[in-house]
Amino acid sequence: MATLFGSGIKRREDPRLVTGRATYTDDVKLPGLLYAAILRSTYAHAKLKQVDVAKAKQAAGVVAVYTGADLRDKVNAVPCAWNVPNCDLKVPPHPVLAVDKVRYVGDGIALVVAESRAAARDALDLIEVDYDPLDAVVDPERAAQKGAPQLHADVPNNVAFTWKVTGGDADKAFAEAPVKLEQRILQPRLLPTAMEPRAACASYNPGTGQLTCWITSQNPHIHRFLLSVMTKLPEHRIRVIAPEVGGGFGSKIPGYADEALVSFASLDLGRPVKWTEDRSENYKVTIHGRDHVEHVELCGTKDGKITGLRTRVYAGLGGYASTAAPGIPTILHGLMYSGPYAIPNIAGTVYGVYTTTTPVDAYRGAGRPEATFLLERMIDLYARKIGMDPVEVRRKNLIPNDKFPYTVATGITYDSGNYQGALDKALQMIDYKKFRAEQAKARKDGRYLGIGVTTYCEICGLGPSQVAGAVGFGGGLYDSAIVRVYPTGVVRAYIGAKPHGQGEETTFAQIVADEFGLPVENVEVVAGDTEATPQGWGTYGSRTTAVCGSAVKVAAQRVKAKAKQIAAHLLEANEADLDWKDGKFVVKGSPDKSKSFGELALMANVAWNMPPGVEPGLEATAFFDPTNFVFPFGTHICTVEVDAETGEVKILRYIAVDDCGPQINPMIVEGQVHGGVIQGLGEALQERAVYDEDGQLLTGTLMDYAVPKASQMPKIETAHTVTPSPVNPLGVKGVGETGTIASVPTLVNAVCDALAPLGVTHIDKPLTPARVWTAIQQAKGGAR
Amino acid sequence: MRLEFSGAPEIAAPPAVVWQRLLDHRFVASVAPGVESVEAVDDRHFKVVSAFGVGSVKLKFQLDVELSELTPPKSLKLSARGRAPGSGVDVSTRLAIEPVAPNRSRLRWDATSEVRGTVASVGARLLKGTAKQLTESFWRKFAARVAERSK
Repeated sequence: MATLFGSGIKRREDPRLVTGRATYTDDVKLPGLLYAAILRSTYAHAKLKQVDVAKAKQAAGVVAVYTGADLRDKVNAVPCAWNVPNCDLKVPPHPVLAVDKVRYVGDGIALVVAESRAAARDALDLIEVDYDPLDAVVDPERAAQKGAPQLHADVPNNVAFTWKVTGGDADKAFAEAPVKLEQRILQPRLLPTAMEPRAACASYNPGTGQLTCWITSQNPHIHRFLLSVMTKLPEHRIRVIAPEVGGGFGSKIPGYADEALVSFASLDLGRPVKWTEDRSENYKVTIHGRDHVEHVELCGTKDGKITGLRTRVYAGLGGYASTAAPGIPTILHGLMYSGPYAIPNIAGTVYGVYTTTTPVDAYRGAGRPEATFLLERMIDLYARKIGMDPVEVRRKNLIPNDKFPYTVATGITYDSGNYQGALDKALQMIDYKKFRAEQAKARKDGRYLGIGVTTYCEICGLGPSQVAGAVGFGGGLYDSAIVRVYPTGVVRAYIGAKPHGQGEETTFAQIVADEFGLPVENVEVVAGDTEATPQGWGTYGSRTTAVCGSAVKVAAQRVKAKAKQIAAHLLEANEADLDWKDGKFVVKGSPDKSKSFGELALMANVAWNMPPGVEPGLEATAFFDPTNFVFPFGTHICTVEVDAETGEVKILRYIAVDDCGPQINPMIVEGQVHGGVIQGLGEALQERAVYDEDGQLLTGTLMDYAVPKASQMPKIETAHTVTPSPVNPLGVKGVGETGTIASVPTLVNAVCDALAPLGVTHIDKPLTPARVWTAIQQAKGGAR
Repeated sequence: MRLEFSGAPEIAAPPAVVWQRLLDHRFVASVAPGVESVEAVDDRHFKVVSAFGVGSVKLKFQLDVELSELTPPKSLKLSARGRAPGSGVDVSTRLAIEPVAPNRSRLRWDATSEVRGTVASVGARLLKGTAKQLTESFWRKFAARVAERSK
């Protein structure tokens, strides 16, 4: 029987999604449902002198109004759950509604619960807030300087942490190196923009004492825990359901005040309460991504050998430390400073800084895009400085294939790799030499063609729980599955992760169906309900297939081992004498003596004739904890033409060669690469969340914040190499974030390469025509 | 976001007439764009409801307006603090009247506005242009109507 592993079958999720049959959190309707609206600060930074809700309480349809003072003793603060060690982390309290001070535009001030959404929203206008405005500070580097406005009483200079990574002796390397360069690199703040905004619907049953909360969640078990902390309700009386989730990109990982507020309101009022944000609320309140100011130095030899890297990074955290925020610019960023290269000496310092802005947390790639961008940008600058081809510089520094597992200077160990192989394949696809010849010819004609080549690797498949504990992550990072076989031989897999667009309902069914020799239709995958699924840690950090998929595989293997015991008993044969063939256990040498998976499913479930000491039923649970992270890698290449008169960038070709190990479903892998690359090209070309100096978010709608549009995007040519990971039974690595990690420097390096004859060395992203044009003028020594 | 505009229209009326008009809240309201109602709390404090549209949004602001630092018939300060759903605005305007010729004055105005919340985040691209146009047309219209009435 042909295996389903490796087959690009269509996603079973899609029919319901494209026909409007999916149920999202906002679709949940319950008898007696109330609606919540949250009054949000219009100031970035202000003392709250008075919040007068008297008029709002009397408004038609309003059931209750709560302020920060009302909830101070009733609902605990929003926790930060990644307590990165050895960095003097300071996490000031983050009340679910502001009590004495607001710290960003969007900070919650009051909660209104009403009979209709309109009544709740209208009542917000009746609340009188007396603010005492304070100065705002939005730039993380400026916020960390003496004299900057202070957000929190116990956090001097707004510095939440000072984290260092060192390997080798960077200072010595820089003292001795013949070539040194430095560059200030900006990683602008981005808005995650999941198609479905966040929502929460809480229903407390005073009769049973149970709270059910539907949440737009990437990790329902984590949300159950966080809700328990905030509402003070014991964890076993909380059920979190994440129904269909319309994208997250990291923004639906954190615990927010909002789901705690509706849960509290439901507990207090004994009726279900729902809150759904609209896009402008989403842009103000749901976490943002990136926001680094980086000072980067690189040193090396004159012939292209990199000997050292130093960084000083200011990472904006926003007004409060969001759930995973401290781990993003540190563990997931600084530890990846070596990239796919053997860089012997590394010294990085990252300052996490509070600013009067929306909290920043994980956004697709989370720390690794920033690391890859700074490294790839520096390598191109280095190549130009020493007059060497940037591809040759990369080749010279890539970790050789025979060196894996390889421990980089930052201390982490890469599982497996074939960096040269992916590079060769991508160069062949683009025909690098031919393009360089075309470029030279075009330059003579006054046209500016450029090429960017990124060789990357990234850390994902998070991760061994022991490491999670050691780096202060407030939970485990194993994952889980129950594989349950029904009497009729159909199967369900209940998983701890929560896919929300990554297609694991399909790919995990492929894993199980293969194991049992079943048609894929006979396997269902269930996720997103803490009542049905075993403890898991969610879908983020490209971990679901590597970790939870492995749990599915192990659970299925356990089921199969039990089925084999039963088959041996029924066939009166030794287990050692049974072969698995075409979905049946067959006695060696007696092809007519066999038991099919279906027969064994029935026999196990009716238990009329079980082997001695074997329990009835046919199901198994597995908790899989990997021995290491996985490190996917690849090479992306982009060619562009830049119009030097207008600054417009036209992408000519985009090639993505990614190695995520064996692919369960190549079509889904390709889809993940496409989505990631496009999100990255958005970051490179046009996306930026803009605050003015008063901390007002100016890009507050989809008309102002420039997510990429289909018409702007190139055809993406994909290919892959296959290098299995030794750290999980599937050999797989993650591929959900590689596109956003690799594509940003690829595009920026291509544009800088195109403009090299004009003397342009670096342009801060996003590369809007105005910025490109300005950079050209500056290089020419013209207008600034 | 912070917006700063200024102007100095010439008015075909003597300073005393301009001053009188400035203090006449009904007259001011009649030339101000989008004013739906104005209510005098006393002769220095007013409650104004004004609708303001920018880009895709239209918001109704409730404004508390205060006149202060009055030096008749030379100068005064007009402050307005307003709010609309999810939004806030503070406007501070300094006004100075100078005689330029018999029966003619110059009205120098200098307005600083701070716009917060939804109206800033939704209308940022268009806000500056719209606010500039509204403010300038207001004072232009004021100048024209004062001159008209003093004929």
